[in-house]
Amino acid sequence: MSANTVDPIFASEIPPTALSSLLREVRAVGKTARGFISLFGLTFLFLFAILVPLLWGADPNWIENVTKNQTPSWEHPMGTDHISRDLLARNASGLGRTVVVGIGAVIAGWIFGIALGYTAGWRGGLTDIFIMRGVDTLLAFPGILIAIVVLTILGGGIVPLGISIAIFNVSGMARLARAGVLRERERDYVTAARCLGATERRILWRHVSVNTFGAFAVALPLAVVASVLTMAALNYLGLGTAPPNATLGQLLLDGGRYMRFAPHYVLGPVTLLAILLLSLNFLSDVMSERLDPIRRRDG
Amino acid sequence: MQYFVHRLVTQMIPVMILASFLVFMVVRLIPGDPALLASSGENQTSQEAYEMARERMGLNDPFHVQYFSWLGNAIQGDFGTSMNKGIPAADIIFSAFPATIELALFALTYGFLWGVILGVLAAVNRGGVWDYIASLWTGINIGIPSFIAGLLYLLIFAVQLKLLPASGRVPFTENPLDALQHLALPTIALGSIVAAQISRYTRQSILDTLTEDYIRTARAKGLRERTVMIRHALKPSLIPVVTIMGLQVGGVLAGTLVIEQVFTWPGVGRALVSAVRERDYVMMQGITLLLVIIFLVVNLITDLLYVGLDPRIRLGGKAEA
Repeated sequence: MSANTVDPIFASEIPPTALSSLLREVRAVGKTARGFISLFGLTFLFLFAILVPLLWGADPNWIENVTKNQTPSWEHPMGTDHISRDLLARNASGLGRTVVVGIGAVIAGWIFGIALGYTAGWRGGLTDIFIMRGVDTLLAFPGILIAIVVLTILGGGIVPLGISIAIFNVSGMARLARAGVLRERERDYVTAARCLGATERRILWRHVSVNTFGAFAVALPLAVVASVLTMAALNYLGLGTAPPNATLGQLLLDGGRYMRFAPHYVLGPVTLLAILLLSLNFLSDVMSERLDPIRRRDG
Repeated sequence: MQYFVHRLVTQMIPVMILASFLVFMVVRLIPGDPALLASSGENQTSQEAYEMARERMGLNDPFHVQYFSWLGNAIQGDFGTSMNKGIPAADIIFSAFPATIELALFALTYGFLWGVILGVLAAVNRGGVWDYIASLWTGINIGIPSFIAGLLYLLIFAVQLKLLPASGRVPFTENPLDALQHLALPTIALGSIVAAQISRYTRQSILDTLTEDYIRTARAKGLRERTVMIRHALKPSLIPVVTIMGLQVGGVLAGTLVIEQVFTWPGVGRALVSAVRERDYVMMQGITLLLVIIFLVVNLITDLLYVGLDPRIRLGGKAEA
């Protein structure tokens, strides 16, 4: 690039790229105590889920001919489960699967939610009333109850599990997207774009939408928390699992059954889930405090 | 009153009708024929037994007739006969109900009391050790969901230290002390999130109240700090906290669904989960409908509490404008 031609005085006025502003944001979050803990925890989990399958190499579903419910040892750093599978490998693959399905469900739910919210906010009138009444109905019930009902209809497995979690992500997002559009559509730049002859669709997708994304970013950690939590809870209830593949909720369920004989079993998924959910909650706290100076901690 | 009627007509009733329809639809959407399931015994299903089951279950009636007869019976407390247990679903549901209500009440009470105590300590010691401890405790308890905390408590206090029983419920009428011991772990697991939220709000609310003029007056009169806190600051600070409690009720009820499974608590949540696992759709319909109604009523009461305490909110958003 032509970085050397830029006068150093104006260097700060170079429009930030997406990557550089993301890095700046991460650095600012890491400076707070909660932010640091959260980034540390998330990095640890990321490395755990990526490196263990690469370096450890044990098949998470392989039933080895060794003692069941083994306590941790050098051969099995987290012990073995009730049918002699390596728990380190199972925890790592369970963590990966839980996070991927959780985030996937958020993205899928948000695509529909954003579409509904934008339509309701942009069109207004009867469309708005119909969409939002439906959304309010969904929001009146706890996510886990909706997910249980949906899973009963769709049956077990990872994809129905993802769909059932995606559904309750739709309603929250629809509200957020609608609020964003309502706030932005009266702004001057919308009028300006309209005067320049931009079509309604172009104004919505090229101008208004980008200005609503900030609020979505702040909502992301909490949405992932809710999804991962619901998924773990459903799996713990024995719903939506796909044995022999591990998820953290499935490991909680199995580990809980053998708690008396092999307490190390349940400790693994409990610790991983606790770190994951705590980190994401802290991240959400820090992010929303950064955006909202009134809420900044006074202690 | 006007607000109540308005809410009832515009939100509660439409949502309830929609929800009951959805709950009814669930059974129709599930793959497989319920009549086939009910009529297939140990031997091969005969066409005759199948036809009889269809007739008995009303599956030959037109769709709307089926819906209204189901709804009419449900309103009268008849949810049908459990497909697996052969006894009225309502009997099973209503016998499981007291256990859930008991657990929820204990969790809410513990959450409120402990939350207020922690919040007051944090506000009085603002920036001090107690404030730090309280903030750490709330941070951890908001972050870790109740059923995972429950598993952890189970592991520590029941399995390792053997201080408290791990599972089951003892009715209060039989042995109050034993009942409390069985309640302790699920109550703490479920109520700690409530306590964490309440302590945050209490702390903030007290700090806001302490800036008021009448607090300065009370101090200028020479009252002791403790008197100022308890007699003057605490009461007005708790009004917003009480409304926050309303919001917690729904969360606690949803939490019981999973926590009952952790502590094998014989409540509605366990009944629902076993109904889903055993594919007992009649039970599922009944429990889901009941839970939906409870959630709607709780939501309505919370809204009414808001209106009662804050006169600025009136009649369906008119005052907002």
